[in-house]
Amino acid sequence: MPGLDVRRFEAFVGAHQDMVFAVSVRLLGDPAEAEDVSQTVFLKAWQRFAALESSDAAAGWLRTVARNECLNHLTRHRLRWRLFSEMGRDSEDGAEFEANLPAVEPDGSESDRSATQARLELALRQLPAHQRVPLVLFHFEEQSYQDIAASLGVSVGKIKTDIHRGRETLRRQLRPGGQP
Amino acid sequence: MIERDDRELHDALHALPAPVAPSTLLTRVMQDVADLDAQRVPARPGLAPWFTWSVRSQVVAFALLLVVGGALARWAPVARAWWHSLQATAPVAVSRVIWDALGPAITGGSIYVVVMGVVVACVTAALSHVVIDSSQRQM
Repeated sequence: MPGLDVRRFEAFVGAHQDMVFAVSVRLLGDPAEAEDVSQTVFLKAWQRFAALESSDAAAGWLRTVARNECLNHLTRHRLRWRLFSEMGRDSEDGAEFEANLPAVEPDGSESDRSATQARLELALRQLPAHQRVPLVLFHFEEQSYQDIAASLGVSVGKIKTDIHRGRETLRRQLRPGGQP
Repeated sequence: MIERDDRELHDALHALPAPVAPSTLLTRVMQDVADLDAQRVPARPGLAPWFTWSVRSQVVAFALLLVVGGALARWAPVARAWWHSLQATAPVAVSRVIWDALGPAITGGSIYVVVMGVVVACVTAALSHVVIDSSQRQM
């Protein structure tokens, strides 16, 4: 029955939406774009819900589709203006946006830890895409350098360099005060 | 493999609170699902999905071809005799010229082929018109 399917699918979306959104927002760095991509992922899930519903691999399938949709989204929509928006970042390695982050005075409290996490999350989202994407794929999606290089169509050396620079930027957020 | 220097950062990243999907996501997805359901044409019971209007028109045309062709094959000698008698009494010279040119070619088989071509073309065109008309009404 279609009505029953819709109710079960609603529960299915409710159970997995945070995971799909988390993958998307960390890869894209933009909550609005992540919501759009998540919507596309769940529409694809609806089209094969009969097979997915009873599958143990449903979460893995959603995660893979979300990842691929994000990479496609970045390729499609950002290629056009990347030249203008990220050329500067390439040379500065994200130093400019880092200066705009709020500084946190260390006092060792829980609020200090939360503030550090907030700065880290913000810094992660604001990393240039060519650093953030491989870094997220490596640390959150636990892909190898080779797999990341293959999926992004660049050399392993560039992937290692980009991840290293991204880490350096993020590491500075973990230091007391959040300043380099 | 994550090196020791990167372990602290790795752990800090994994300690970050997981992003929570906005409440609008579920609403948007379910609205899309409802829209898709509304667009879906309900399947007719008893008809296989491959039995489309195109297939149906071809089946009907083929059935007509068999019926009319069979009848013509049965009655072709009669039709030919009728045509002979008509030609013999035709006062118009043009018809005699036409007959002289086409007469040897007119056999049961050639009549069958020409008539069937016309029948198939007419039936297919008529059914296509009906299908297009009904699909436009659905829109």
